[in-house]
Amino acid sequence: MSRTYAGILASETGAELTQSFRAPEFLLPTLALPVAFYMMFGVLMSRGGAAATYLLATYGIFAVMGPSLFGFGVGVAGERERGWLELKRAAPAPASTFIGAKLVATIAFAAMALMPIYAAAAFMGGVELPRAVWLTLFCVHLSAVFPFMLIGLSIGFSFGTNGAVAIANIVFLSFAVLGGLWFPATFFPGWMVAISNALPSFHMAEIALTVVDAPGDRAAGFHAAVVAGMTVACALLAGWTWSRQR
Amino acid sequence: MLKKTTAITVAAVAAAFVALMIVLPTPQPAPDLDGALVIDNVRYFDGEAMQGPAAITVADGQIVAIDDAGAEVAGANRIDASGKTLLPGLFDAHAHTFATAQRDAVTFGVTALIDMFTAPALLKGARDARDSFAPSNAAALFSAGMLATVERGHGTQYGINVDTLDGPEEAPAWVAARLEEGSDFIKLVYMPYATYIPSLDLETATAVIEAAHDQGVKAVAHVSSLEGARELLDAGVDGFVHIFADKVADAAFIEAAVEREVFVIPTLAVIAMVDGRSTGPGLIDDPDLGPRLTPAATTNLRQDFGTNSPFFDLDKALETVGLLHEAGVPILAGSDAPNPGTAHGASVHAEMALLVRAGLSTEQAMAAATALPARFFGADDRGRIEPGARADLVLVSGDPGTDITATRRIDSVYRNGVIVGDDPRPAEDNKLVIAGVLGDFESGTSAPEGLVWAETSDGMMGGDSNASVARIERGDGGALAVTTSVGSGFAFPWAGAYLGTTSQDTIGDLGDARAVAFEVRGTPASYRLMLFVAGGMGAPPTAMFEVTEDWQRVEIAIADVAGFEPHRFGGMAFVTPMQTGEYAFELDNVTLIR
Repeated sequence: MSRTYAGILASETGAELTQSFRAPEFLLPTLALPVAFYMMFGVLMSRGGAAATYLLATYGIFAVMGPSLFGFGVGVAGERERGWLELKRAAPAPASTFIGAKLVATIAFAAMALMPIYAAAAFMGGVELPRAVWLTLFCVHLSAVFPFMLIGLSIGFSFGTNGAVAIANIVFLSFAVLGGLWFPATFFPGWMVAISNALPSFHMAEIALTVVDAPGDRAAGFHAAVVAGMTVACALLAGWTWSRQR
Repeated sequence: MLKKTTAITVAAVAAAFVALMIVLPTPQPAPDLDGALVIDNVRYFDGEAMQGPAAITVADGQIVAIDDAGAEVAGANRIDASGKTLLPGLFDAHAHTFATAQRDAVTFGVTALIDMFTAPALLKGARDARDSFAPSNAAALFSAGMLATVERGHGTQYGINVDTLDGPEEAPAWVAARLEEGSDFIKLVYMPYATYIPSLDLETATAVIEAAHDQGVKAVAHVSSLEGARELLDAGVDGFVHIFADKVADAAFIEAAVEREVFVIPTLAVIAMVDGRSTGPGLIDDPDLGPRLTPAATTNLRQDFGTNSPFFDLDKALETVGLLHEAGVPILAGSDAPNPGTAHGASVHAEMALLVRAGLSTEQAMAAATALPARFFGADDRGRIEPGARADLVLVSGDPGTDITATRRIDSVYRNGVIVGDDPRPAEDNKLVIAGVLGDFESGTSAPEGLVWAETSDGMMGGDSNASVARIERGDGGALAVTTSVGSGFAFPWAGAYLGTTSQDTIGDLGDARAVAFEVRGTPASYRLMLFVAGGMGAPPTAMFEVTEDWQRVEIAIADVAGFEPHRFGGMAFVTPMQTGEYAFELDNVTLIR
């Protein structure tokens, strides 16, 4: 049987997906938690309206952050600890399929986490958006996979399983709260805003808020440039931490 | 196995994504608020009750939002309507539409007419005109068209050719013919207990009602007695277009009316006139309504039948209306204009006051002229002030919720969101270029596109002249035969043939035509050619011509017709002298020549 690159990638992705499907401790928090939070804050407490739209933009980033940070961060740390990475390096498969499979699986899980939020926003929160805006928002949300995945990778390469779980949780929660994903960053005091500005989650959320035309002035180009810069920095960090493995 | 997991997962996620993107709700396209109008700090009657004060935003001919007073709306023109009240454009639920009726009505805030009998030719274009969101200076028209009556019965005396019924078997085809002509509902005349005029019998009246229902429209009835009304209730009629005034309704009738869910348009104003207590002089003297009346309307308001009929007792009618209303029968405001003592538009205000006198609250009287007629006559986007409703509106000073006569203090009238008389359209938009042959009657009585030949007489002004037109053979071709009878019921009687535009919103343009030429013969006398100016009021520009028993060609130079504007042509009429008598004439080859 000829093993093409795509074939290997498909098999590797299948393995990643199967592993995740068999891990309720990963599945439940990443898929159920964001929509549960959105239901509480975006639909029930805000009773729909403009807040439902605003929080759809931010909770979408929150939903993508889970699978990206934990799938890569904690997952890679465990695999590394169990010597799986060394085995991979010895296996007759390109190294990029290892990352590629994780990326495809993460995007799939991110989409699975996003869609219930969209449904809740639309059918319970009364959010109505032009079709192009729904589509653009979804693309913006999914694109958040890249910076968070690279941060996750850096964590995974740098810490053992236990350490990675702890670090990923700290990063996850601080990105969520300080990035203004749970409550609008405009409510923050000045010193917190300064922290927000240093977080990719804040800038991703600002881009998503621009897409839904949320109240307030935003420079989407500026935020996109910051996210791009942060992503490159995270890629360099991930590359450096990976190179230390060899 | 692993590959399959990948394929299934990716396919499932992709399919879910596509499905979600398809079902996710999208907003209604936001109206363009540039040029929107905000009527701010305004009290308003929503069709049922007084509300506000609020800021009501109007854009693209519709009400797009109702916000708290003072709300900011970007890009909109704001008027402060403190102390004023906004009403949905009023309905006259019983009118007869002739000549300038639609224009006259709108002047008084009546933006929709429920017509209870008119010449079917007028229905051409009525639906398109009322559905349009273009600015308009004419009331929307909903009409019964021709009415159902018998030969020489009520309705045949007005000079309109009536297709009468001889028996129940004719009913389905008769109703179908009305719907073909553009009737929105069916009106029948049932007055079997009147000794002075023949009437449909119960069997035929029932067949007409059933045929209307079978063909999906309502059937409403003109009755003049309690007994007649009782019989039609059993026959399944949907509503009465007058209240009988011979007796006060008894408990059995009221119970039956509630059970059958009929509505009643009492037309108290016209009953008051017949009872010698006309509301007309009061409208003429009203400081706000009086100045808006045309001379013709004022004349009409001063007239009455000159007799005080024992069968028309206003007090009995008022009592019946009060009882019906109390029992829950919907009461609608209709004036029966242009009967003597009434005028299009103005008399709706008199009718609302009479309804309050009968026992309706001020809000119920306003509902009788707004939401209720809209509901019963299928005018879905009219009669209410709510987002999405058509912006046919009346702004009045004061609060009609406490004093119904405040509806007469008209500040401005809006049709499709634009103040009536404030039409920003360049007239060219609706120009109909008219040239060449206007009628050769070779194969019928058809006119060029956008024009129609019809009969005309002072019957439309309450006079007793009448006319009928028909094509006859003339040599190898045809001519238009006009048969008229000129009575003395109107100060300036006329009868004859009319060539008009099919839509009141159209302005004809005769271009550089030099003269109107035609061939004519008939009862020898001096006849008149009237050239109407679109939107013109009062006596039309007129030229005289002599008719003899022999065919002769007449040419009338347009420049000689004082007061006519060739680029604002509203119609032309070939009519009899003003002297009482019978006149017959034939008209052929009506042509505009350069």
